[in-house]
Amino acid sequence: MVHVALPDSSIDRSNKAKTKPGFFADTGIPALLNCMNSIGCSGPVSNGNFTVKMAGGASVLACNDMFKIGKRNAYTLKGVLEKYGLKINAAHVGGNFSRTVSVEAGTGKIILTSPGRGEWTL
Amino acid sequence: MSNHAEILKKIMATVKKVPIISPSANKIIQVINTDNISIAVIIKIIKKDSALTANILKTANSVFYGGRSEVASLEQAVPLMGIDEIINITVKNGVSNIFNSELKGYNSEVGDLWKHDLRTATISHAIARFSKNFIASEIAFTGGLLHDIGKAIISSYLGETSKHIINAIDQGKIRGFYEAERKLLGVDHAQVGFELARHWNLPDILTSIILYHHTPSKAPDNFKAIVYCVHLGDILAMMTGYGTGADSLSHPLDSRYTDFFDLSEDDLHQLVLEIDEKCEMRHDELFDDQ
Repeated sequence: MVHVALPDSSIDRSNKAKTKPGFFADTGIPALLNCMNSIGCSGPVSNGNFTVKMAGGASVLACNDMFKIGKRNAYTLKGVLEKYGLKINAAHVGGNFSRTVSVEAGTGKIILTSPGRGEWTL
Repeated sequence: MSNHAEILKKIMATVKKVPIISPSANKIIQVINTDNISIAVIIKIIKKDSALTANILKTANSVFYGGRSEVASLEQAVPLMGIDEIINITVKNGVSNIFNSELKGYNSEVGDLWKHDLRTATISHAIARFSKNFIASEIAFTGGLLHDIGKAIISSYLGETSKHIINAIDQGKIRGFYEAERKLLGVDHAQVGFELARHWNLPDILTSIILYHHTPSKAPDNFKAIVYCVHLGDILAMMTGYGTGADSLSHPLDSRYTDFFDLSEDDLHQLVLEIDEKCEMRHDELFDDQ
């Protein structure tokens, strides 16, 4: 799982993209794939071998485009995944509420929670 | 008596029962609300509070400050830590029960309020430099720490209503969470926080930040810029994953902040980056043992 905060690492002046590539959408996906590869996911990167799920991308109420960072993160992630030939199998993005994502390691189930909205499976 | 009047009476009685802010916190807040902040005066105030002195020295000797040679005096510690960190520790110690509230009405856990407030404070301090006019960043920081104190009081009165509030916001029936509070209880957390701030005799600039942080356009003209500063700090704290539960992201952004701030998209992204690094260190070092 990778948790991105900003879409584009080119704004990075503090070298964070190198130390924490997951912070940016454009460096986060390659880092995740590398990490998966290093622990044994060595097959071809394809939807045949991978299940891709995305959650988040929320925005604050009534905000202008500049503040819709979550939306831009989701858009950039989709583009990066497409470059790897990966389609998103399931997504729960947008809206004006925060989500917490967890992975049930035994089953691969992706569980989302949000305060006041309960828990659901993606 | 109407239901709202009854609730308001109860809330106001609860506000009056909240212990006053510690004398050292109050005095330090008065000092930072002056044009020339004197480190010597701040040290003098801290010295009269042995628990606060111990806490500051403990933090100054933590890994956060590099674990350099032993910091044994306030004269070494205060310049090393900086005014913001002193305010942070003083306020946290001065009103600790408030910040440790669970906020059940917001589906929020113990510690969430303080984390949100500290992040809001850190961001407000950082945003101050983008203001078209001078903003006292120490006051913005303090305002950020205190802006949501009303939630600690109002939370229990919200009961189990957060689900219904969220539904109403999703359906566009209500413009934001604070408006729902007002509809349900006749008063919102900003107004209750304002009453608590007055109970603590905080300066007008801080009571205004607390009262208008969701409605900055209504703030008095002389405080508008700093109120917008904390408004943005609050919004960005929620955007970066540090809200206080069910109301996270459910307060509207007032886009008229552009009257007071020159903030480009690049600046905004840089801020997210900068804040993350600053808060990450603070969380590691300052939350674990408190």
